[in-house]
Amino acid sequence: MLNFCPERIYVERSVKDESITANILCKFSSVPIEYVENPKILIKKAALAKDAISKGKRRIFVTKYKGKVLKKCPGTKYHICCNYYVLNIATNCYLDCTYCVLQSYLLNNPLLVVFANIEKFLKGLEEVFSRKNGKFYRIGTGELTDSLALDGITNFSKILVPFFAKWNNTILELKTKTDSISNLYRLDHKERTVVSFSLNPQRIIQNEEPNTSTLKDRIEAARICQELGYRLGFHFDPLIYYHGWEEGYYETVKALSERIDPGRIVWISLGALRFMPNLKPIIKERFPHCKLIYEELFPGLDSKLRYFKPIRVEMYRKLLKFIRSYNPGIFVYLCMETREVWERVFGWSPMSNTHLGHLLDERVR
Amino acid sequence: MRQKDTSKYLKDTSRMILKKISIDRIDLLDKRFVVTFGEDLSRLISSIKMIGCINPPILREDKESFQIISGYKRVSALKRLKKKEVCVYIFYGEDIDAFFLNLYENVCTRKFNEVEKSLVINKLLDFGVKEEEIIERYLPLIDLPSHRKVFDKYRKIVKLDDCIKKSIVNGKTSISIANKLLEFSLRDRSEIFQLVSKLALSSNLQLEFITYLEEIAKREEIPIFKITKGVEIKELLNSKVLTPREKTEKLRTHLRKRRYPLLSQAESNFQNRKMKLGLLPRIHLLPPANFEGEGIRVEFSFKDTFELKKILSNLKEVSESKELASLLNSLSGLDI
Repeated sequence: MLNFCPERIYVERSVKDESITANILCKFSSVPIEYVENPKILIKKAALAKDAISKGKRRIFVTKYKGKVLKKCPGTKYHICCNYYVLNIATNCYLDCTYCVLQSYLLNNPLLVVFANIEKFLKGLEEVFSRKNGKFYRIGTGELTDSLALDGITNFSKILVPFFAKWNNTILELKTKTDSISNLYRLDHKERTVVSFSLNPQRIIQNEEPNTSTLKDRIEAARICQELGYRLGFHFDPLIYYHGWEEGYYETVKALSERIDPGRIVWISLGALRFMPNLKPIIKERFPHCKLIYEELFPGLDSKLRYFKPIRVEMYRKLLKFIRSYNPGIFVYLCMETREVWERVFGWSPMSNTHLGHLLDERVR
Repeated sequence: MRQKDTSKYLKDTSRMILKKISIDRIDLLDKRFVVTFGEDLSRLISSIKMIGCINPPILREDKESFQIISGYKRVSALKRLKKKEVCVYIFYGEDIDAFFLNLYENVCTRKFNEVEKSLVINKLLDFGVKEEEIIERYLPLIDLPSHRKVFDKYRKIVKLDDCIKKSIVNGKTSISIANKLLEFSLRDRSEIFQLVSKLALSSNLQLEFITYLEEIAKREEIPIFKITKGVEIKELLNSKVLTPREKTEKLRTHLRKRRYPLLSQAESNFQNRKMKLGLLPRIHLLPPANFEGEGIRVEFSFKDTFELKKILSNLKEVSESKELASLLNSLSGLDI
């Protein structure tokens, strides 16, 4: 279980009576609270503050979500995307991974934002799911935050998991680098929730993923979820190239294979480290000892920096081999890769984003 | 509010008296209020020789000697001219007031250079002015945008060695490069500065070279001076055959190769295979940038139809060759 205590909690007055707000305030009764009338001023101040990123991660802002409830994962040009939908119940996270892209994505609002108006989300989802258009929705909450890092505080999962259990045209994926699964114990999930864990060798977790759970704890949490009947996903994302990576990832897959029944795994994704160039100076400044940015990374067709293609192909092939030797039947896919790389790793490639999306949907329908 | 204080003392002329004093009593080493850097006294000396010092420096009495509030260059010039006495204003007031007197006098009469702007910011901090106030009120006063990033960048400049500061004043080193140099140890900083100065690199090239050096050092876990003192770079820089431009190009290639060994190897393999194709010199074959996309680009130029036909015929020939097939295969199977 992870420890987190914010320095300050800001609450937008319009959500002060929401149950999520009450959950947060009850959990941190000794933390200073400030009620906010005008969030724009607060956000601007937070963005301009000295050491804004680190400071923002220690300040919760409970507010109202005003946008479109369900959004398509943006994907990027020339790369195959899995046609995922994202539900942004929060943005930012107190885990402080060196490579985290949120550092550059959330520069305009570095606060740890929790959207407390859960009713809006539920209503919006209900409207989409009840359309009966034959569409299947794979939805994740882990795009702009860690799905479970704050769950012990917000209790979102207690609402979302039973809600998704009522629908058969959707699946919720909770993606995490933590072992914060205590809320999932007694929920009626009807297998409509996939609990996914991001994995990396313990050495990478230790050096690059501060505040997250250890590999052992993540796998143990996955094992418990498996016992609770949840289906599981694993994401080797970002794959990190370092001296000894081959052994590190071999050991990681081995540790997974020793504890998890492959029959419960719906998918494993592989995605090599990638980020927009503006993240590089941020990593350099915030994590002077981080060496990830000094590998051979080049801008791809979507302008994101990625490892030199032969490195990526080599890593994917090795990981695939490790996973196949654990269980040949596990569905493995690449996250945000080119058709060419897919072909060189698997010998085939999805015909389109829709095709890959369909293959993944079939795993959980 | 600082603004009120400033206007109050500036209007209060009773706090200054005009007096003739011995130049020996002025302490040139006391630079508490001085924001002058990179002084060129020659013109001022000629002027004083012609018409004397018509604008009295402003000083403050400090025990036996006088501190310079305003007029550091004038006093320096007078000392160099071995003058014995000078007419000065003696100011009676606090440190902060004395500094503002200097600041506002300078703002009205001249432009600060980049190092002097840094000195102003640091003096304001030393005299207890808050960062936010400096950003909002005083950065615009010294012709800088009112922004924290600008404040942070300029604040650090004073920490640099004098040779780098002079280079900033001469416009050879930009504020961004100067800040970049501050990220390194004293020894590495000096090595980098010497290298970029020796090659007289443009700002963009300075940044490129510094980034290469920095990243190679990180990758290889060695200090930068070990790279710059390496045999290859040393020989290259000391070469009597190469022009500075050739040295720059060769050094750039060397650093890039060391920073990106796999990419460089792939580029070199591509070049070798391309050579074997027998393409006409006017035809250029370009791999995808960083070997990331798919497909090779062909570029050619021609003067007339005869040349175009020749090029097309050459391309047709190459398209059927084993060498091209081998090049394409190597590209799709690019392995490490």
